[in-house]
Amino acid sequence: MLWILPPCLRAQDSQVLAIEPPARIVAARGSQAEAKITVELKPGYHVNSHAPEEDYLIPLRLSWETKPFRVLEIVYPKPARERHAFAQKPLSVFSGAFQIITRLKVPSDAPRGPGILVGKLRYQACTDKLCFPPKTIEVRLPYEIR
Amino acid sequence: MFPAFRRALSLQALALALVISACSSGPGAARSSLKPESQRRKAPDFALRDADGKLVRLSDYRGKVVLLNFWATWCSPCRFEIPWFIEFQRQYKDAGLEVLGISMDEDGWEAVKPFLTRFGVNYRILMGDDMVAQLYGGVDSLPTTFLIDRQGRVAAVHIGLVSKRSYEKDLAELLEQEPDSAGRAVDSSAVLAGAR
Repeated sequence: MLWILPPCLRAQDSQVLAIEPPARIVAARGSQAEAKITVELKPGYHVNSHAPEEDYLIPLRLSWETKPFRVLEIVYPKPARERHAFAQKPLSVFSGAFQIITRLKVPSDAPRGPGILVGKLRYQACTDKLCFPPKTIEVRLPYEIR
Repeated sequence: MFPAFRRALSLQALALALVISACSSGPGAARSSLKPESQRRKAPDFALRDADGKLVRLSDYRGKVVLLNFWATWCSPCRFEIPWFIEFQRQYKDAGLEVLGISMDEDGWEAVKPFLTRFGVNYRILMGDDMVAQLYGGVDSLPTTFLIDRQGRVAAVHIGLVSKRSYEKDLAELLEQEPDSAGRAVDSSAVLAGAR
């Protein structure tokens, strides 16, 4: 039944948000490390920030499978407050390119060597006229523990 | 009051509203976005549950103009439109309009029922699923709204937020058309048997 929406009218969110492959972190046992995840949204799109002002909005969330690290803190950038015709109050959003920083602790008994830390980024994107369903994408962070 | 008379009054009210809005509008006045009748195709039938658990089919609304709105509680543009739809349902029901909302909330009725109470939604909401979304072309973004004529054909598709005036214009045109007893049935070949 694809005739219902001609291709030119079908909005796709597959290319709305991209994550730059993160740089490998190298850290010694017992030390702390910082991972930077760079996210880029297509022009004209925004995602709700990690702290939207309305409780019905789905926030941006980065989470990690913690082993072998311990996540100390996830730091999101300062959101923009954008006005849209469909909202009475400005919305707390991210758009363009931005970085999410994760501060990690390497346990002193963590196994040495390379690995991949797997995380998930959940987001919900909109334009000034429409919204896409919430989506969760995988984030893979290469690391080496020395 | 007789239904036919009430319907006539509602149509008059709608026509008056359009005259007023046309007079007060500038160059950006809404134009009808309806497809020519020859290009309209049957709206796929479906069977979905409403908030009371009742199975509802699109074909239950034969002879009516249906505003079929795919939405979700987390969608700000959808929430912006809903008061318009409440107004349309109240104002044009007697003229033959039925607003149907299909919620695409992942959390189901748990998320939707409190919303319906809070917003005083006066039209029927159904819980959607991937099957009904596929029937209607994927519905990749919200809001997506289909205007279905009295013959059960898709007369317009609105993807994203459009103006209230645009809806009013389209609905006025669709409601002016008399029910056609020969061709009002919707396509029942695509009924979602066993849908929730």
